[in-house]
Amino acid sequence: MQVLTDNVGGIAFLQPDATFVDASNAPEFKSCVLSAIDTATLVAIDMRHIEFMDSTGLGAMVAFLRRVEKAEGRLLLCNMQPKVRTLFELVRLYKIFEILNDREACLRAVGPT
Amino acid sequence: MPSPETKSEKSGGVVLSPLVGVVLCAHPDDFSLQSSPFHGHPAPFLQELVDRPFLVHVIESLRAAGVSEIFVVCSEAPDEVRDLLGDGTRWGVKISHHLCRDSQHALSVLPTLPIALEAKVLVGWGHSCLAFPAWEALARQCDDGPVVVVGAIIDSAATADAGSALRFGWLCCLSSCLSKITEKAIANGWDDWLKQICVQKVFSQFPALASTSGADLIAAQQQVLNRKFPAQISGFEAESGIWLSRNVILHPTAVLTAPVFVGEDCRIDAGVTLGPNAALGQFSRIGKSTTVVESAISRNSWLGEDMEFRHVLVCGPRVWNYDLNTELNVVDPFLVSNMRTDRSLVAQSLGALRSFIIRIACAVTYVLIAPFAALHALFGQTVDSSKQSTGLVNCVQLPMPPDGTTERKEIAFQKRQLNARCTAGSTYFLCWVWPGLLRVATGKQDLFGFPPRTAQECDALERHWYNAYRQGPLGVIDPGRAEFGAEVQPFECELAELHFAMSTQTVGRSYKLLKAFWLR
Repeated sequence: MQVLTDNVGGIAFLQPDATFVDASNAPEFKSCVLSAIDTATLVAIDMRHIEFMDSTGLGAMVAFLRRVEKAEGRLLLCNMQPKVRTLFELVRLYKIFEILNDREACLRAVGPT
Repeated sequence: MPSPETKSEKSGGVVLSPLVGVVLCAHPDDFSLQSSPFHGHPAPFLQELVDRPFLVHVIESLRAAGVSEIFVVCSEAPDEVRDLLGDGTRWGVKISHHLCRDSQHALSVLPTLPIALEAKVLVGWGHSCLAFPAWEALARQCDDGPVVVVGAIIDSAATADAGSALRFGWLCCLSSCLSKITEKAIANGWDDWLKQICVQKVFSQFPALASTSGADLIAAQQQVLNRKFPAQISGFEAESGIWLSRNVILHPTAVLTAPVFVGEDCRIDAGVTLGPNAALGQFSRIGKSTTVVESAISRNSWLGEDMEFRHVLVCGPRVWNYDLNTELNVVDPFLVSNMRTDRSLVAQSLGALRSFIIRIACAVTYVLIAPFAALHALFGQTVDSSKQSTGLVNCVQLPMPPDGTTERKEIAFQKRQLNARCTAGSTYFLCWVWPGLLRVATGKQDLFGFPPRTAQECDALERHWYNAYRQGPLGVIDPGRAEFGAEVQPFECELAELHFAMSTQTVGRSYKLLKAFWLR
């Protein structure tokens, strides 16, 4: 699994190329994204390729959030596919994650740095 | 279609500014106590106002103001809001959906929205709505600077504090003002930000609606029904102030007093008094001689007979009196219940499985009892032909007045062409309880007397079966009562209830009698 990293406007955009995140690849997904996050404090995960996610994937997302918040940073999620977005809504994870529609919204949310 | 842009004349030229709307579907914490009837669900902005959810009124009001693009920011029930509004094609506007964590963060989402520069933005809440003239005036005022609209009649106390006004009311400003919203402004309260963007005026005279509390919702309903708020009401206006939707079954003796709204597929029984200021949601049923005044009944509601609803909101089995500010959860489904058809798949499957098992069990029991029924008929004929009036006939002491017993037995036996001198307990069992099992097996009635849960079930239920259900501990129907139905006289009612109670109490004794028959 590869994670494309792009730094725009002070935000580290991480774009995993996985189309699904479940028990079979969640550990790999978690380690790849965590290593990509590294020491970044302003992170946005571009989830445009992820079309399916199960509870293990949600666990990985929470791990990313904990990592970023531990460093007093900010984690944004953007470009969610409808199914994944519905999952986040059903389990009310949008209450703890900052979910935005696209990358431009992330840039506007962070503002000029 | 109205122009999606507002026109404002500046220095002789015409400047076109796109007008966009932002609706915040969040639940302010300040309203947590006031909105007690809505705890759980639905959210205040999803609560029905007259004929459709409150949020739809907000969208339609914005559409009437000429808004072409609406950003909906949700912190509560985002999936339901998305299902309700869709992409806005229904109203001819473009609707996009955005998420926020809670009401405090709702305004902080505003800078992230892709709003065009120089656009005028109307920002407001999904649980409050302003009339179109207010929008027009706002848009005009907005040319000179941002304007905050206090929630007007929504909360007069909010006028004292512009910050709280923003949390309760609506704002009209240029999109550039939104970019000045920062986390710091949120942390320090909204007064700083409002001062920064130079708040000009506070309006309070425009008609406004709110759904933040039960009293607000009833007041809003009154405004809409009395045409004080320019909202369209669906349905056919039979008389001035009386709206009837399609497929309404209205008993000729029901009295409707304007203003009143009856939603689609409602059924109103005899002697019902409805209105003034009453709204009945879709698929609702009102039992006979019930009164509904100054109240809002949500969709799929079942209201029983001979009850009075004044100044209440009925939402499922919950009844909330907004005068007394008390909430009552009604446990008796014959008084108030919910006929929701949108049960979960698991609940539907379990219900279907339960019904199937019961029907199979009843069918098997019916078949097993069939030989006893044949014996009963045989012995009955024997007793009748021998002209004997003693013996087994006197084995059972009937718990009912002698006069009533005689009369009732004659009626029932004549109709069933059975022998009046046969054993009463076994007769009741085999003539009434046993056929009841067949009715359960064929799906015409429910064994345990549960009330109908769906509109289809309610329609399928015959009136006299419903009457018999009311007193039935087992839900097995007394055919004598069924034959009389709703038109039965009070005395006959009492008799039928006695018969019915006895038919369920004497089952054990009937078995003993059947055993005696068999041995003989």
